[in-house]
Amino acid sequence: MKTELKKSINYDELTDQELVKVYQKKGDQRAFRTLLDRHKNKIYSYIYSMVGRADVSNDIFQETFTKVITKLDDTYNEQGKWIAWVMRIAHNATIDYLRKQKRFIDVNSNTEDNDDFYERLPDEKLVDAEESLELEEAKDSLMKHISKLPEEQRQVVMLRHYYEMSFKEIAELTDVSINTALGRMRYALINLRKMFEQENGKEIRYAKR
Amino acid sequence: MAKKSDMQSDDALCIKYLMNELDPAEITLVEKKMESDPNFLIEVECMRRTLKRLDSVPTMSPPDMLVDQICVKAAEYRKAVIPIPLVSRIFQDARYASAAAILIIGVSAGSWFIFNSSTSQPETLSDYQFQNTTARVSNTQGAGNEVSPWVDHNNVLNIQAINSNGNTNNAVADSSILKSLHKLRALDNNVGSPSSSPEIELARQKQE
Repeated sequence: MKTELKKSINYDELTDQELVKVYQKKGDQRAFRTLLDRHKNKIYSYIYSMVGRADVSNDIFQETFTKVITKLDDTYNEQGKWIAWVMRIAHNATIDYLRKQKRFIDVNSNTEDNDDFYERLPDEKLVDAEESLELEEAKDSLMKHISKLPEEQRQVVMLRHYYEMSFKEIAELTDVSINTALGRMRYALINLRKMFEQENGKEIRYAKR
Repeated sequence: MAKKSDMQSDDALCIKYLMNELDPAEITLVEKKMESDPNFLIEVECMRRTLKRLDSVPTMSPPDMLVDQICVKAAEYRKAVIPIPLVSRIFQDARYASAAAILIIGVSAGSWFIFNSSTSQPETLSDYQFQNTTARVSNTQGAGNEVSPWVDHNNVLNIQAINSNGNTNNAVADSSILKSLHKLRALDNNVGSPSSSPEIELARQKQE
């Protein structure tokens, strides 16, 4: 009877909190995997966008989930969002790494790593190879621009993009006021706009030649 | 100063407006401002376009092997940490309790047996002689005479009868010895180890 009940659980239909409870009380590995599958790409992408290296991203991702596993009973508040809690751990681990490095990591600085990054981008259903190439180029340039943003601005952009966090949540996570978080977002957008304009200007110049 | 704070609040409103974080009243306010201020409208539209481009920021996946490793670690950790159900715990506790009870009973019985066997058997022959002789002889004597046996340094049992005046009474002592001798029986050679059965010599101490 018990096994039948277990089989009948549709993990995909459960909320994060329910999955956490199932994992916590029964040690159900499938519940944990469902949680991980649901959020792994966002967490990994955020880490990668901040550190710009696959090997370091792997380490930080693993460190994050090791903490998630071991601290679940102690520091996770059942009332709160699980993903927000995980994000905080991932964010802190990323910031710790960046502080240790004490330098701005440019995704563009290492060609080998970038190749690795773009090789593992998810496949898109594209009509033809030309469109695919254009899209890849657009993503390429976008990532380059984002990587050039100051760390604080990049943080806000990525947290907003990958986690759809409110500015209140971003402010809490990054330990600044809401207005500071809003200001950082605004400057990030202004800087990106300038970079896009510069890029367009170059393209126009090349076209005129 | 007031102009600067107005600008800051406009910027904040603009970002919040684009991020859908305004309440209906604030949305109306921003839209009115967009209608009345063309610069503000341009600012908002530029921001919107830039923001739109961010939608194509790629999402990446961690390596599958890494995800599998984490899942295995999660399962192992949980297995070690998860509390044992109450019924199993009670059953386990009962098993521990019964094992402890058996151990206590065993130790108690063993120590009782060792203690009894050590107190019931005299360690030396002189102890045996002293204890038994005192009891028997004193029972057979009258109230006026006291027979005090002792063992000297040669392991010889001495029996001396002392009357109520404190003088030795050889007649009483002799009769006690005689009575005792009647009760003596030849020892079986097989009883006790040969080395631990010393010879007994009975002698009457002569008074000078």
